[in-house]
Amino acid sequence: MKNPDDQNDDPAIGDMARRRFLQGVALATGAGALAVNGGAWGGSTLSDAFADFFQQHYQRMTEAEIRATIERIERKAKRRYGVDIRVDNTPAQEGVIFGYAINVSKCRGYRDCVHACARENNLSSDTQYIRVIEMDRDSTDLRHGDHYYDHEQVPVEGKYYLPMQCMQCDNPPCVKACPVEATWTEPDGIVVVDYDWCIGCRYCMTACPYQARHFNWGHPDLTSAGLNPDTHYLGNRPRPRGVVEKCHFCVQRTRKGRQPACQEACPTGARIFGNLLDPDSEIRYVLEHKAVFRLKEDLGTEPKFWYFRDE
Amino acid sequence: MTWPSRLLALLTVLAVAPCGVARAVEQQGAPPTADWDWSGFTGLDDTPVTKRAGISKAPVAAVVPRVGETAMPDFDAPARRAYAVFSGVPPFEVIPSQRDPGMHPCSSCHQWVLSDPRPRHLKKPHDNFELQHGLHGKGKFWCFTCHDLSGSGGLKTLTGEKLEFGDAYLLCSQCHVDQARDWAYGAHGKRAANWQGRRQVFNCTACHYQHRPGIKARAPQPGPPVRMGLERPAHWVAHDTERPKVHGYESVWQRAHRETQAAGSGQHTGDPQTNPAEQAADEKS
Repeated sequence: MKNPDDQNDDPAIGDMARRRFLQGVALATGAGALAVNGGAWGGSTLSDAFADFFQQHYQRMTEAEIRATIERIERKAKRRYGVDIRVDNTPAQEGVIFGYAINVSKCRGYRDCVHACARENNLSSDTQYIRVIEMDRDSTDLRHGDHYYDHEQVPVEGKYYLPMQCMQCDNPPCVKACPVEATWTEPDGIVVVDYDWCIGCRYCMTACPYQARHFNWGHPDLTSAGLNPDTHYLGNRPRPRGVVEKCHFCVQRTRKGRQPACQEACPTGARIFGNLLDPDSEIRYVLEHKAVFRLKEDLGTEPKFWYFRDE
Repeated sequence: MTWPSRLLALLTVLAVAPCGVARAVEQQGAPPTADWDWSGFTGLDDTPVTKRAGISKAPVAAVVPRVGETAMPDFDAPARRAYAVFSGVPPFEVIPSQRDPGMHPCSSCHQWVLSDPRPRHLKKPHDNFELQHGLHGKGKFWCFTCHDLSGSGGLKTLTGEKLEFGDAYLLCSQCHVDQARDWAYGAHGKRAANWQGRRQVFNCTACHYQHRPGIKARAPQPGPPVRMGLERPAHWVAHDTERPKVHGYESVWQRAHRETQAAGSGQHTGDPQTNPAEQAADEKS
């Protein structure tokens, strides 16, 4: 549940007033710094640099502010990578809560999903949202799983493969851990991050029992050719350095009705994605007709990510 | 017509084929119909196809096409509305498979060339696969379990109902009932492109090569990188090799160390051709 204070749009109240004041102070300081140190804005214009500095939390911005922010992000990407990206702001669809299911009998550990995800979501080369864990047959002990497996051919006899990514928990511990509320659950059930509000404390990474969150230790090493220009504000737009990111069910695709990149890339059809509220959806059929389980269910995180086997 | 005379007719047809198509048709008589004489059919015994008398054990596996080569989804063709044989299923469409245009329609050859229904080592142009379908690859089937050469050719069910190639899922669902139901509801198989809107699913043959439906093992994509700043120093690698292989195989670090050692001593055991079991044996010795 969201704190009702978050919804307060009245600028005269509480932290908003304080924020306005601090903005004024910082503006004056920043202007002074510019006079001393002329080209310190990374090629940005002064107004963009200021606007970046005073950018609001995504949920507190007005439509116009979001539009201005998006234009600024697009300009920044153009400067940095020389690519015209489109940052999207599609809201969650009404009556949609996303759920995911993986057929562990079908997953063969090819890792096609991992790399499709990395391409789609503009991941730095040291980050992968999906971890395909090679598990011993007849065991669900994640401690004995290995995601660095490197065989000539998969699947290997006596092993099975368990892909893990963000479970989009309904009771997400990472959201509770964030001291600045830079991460929250969207109405369609996706846990998202406002990369510009994140302070990089990495508390959420510690709180997540699935190791689904990843930290940008450096600037993402994206190339102009490899950059996916179709992005979303809460999704795969190029991230700054020093912030936490995670799987967001390809929010830039799924909110427009497309499949997430991992599902589209899966060559065996092990991945099933859909609307949990639609009784005719594939995911609902799986949940109602298969013996599904979730990882670390005893923690009460209520993941919206199920696993099942062929009987 | 007895089998020897049939064979004679086939040989004659082949012999005179270059002389003129019209003449070949004239000599062969009426084109083959669906009413085959099954008395000579030996496809339903327990002997694997490759071990039956008269069948050569020539290594046909070398020319088996990769899965996907013969049944790539044909995205340009209009999707077919699925038959409503699965009651209660939300409507969906099936993406047709792209067929080898040189081989279709069957009637382009088989209106002149009589087909031999006996299980045997297949000759050109049907020598590009080995039939490994039916009861764990033991070859319970032969071509005419599924193929129908009457008319322009196509598929037929076990009861003789004629099917288009695009409706292969109906043929598969005769035996694979559970998979077919899961497929129709979306728990098996693969939906294309979207989760919302028109539901278009791949046909069975898009993933399963119909003559050898098992999905082959292949190399995985590269594994995850070590996080920036966490590259292990050399002594860690050495230490790691001391660790017993609790998972039954070596880690990337162990493998890197082993390959470094092997390169140093002039032996390269990391050859992709080497059997992993042999590698493990090498490691123990």
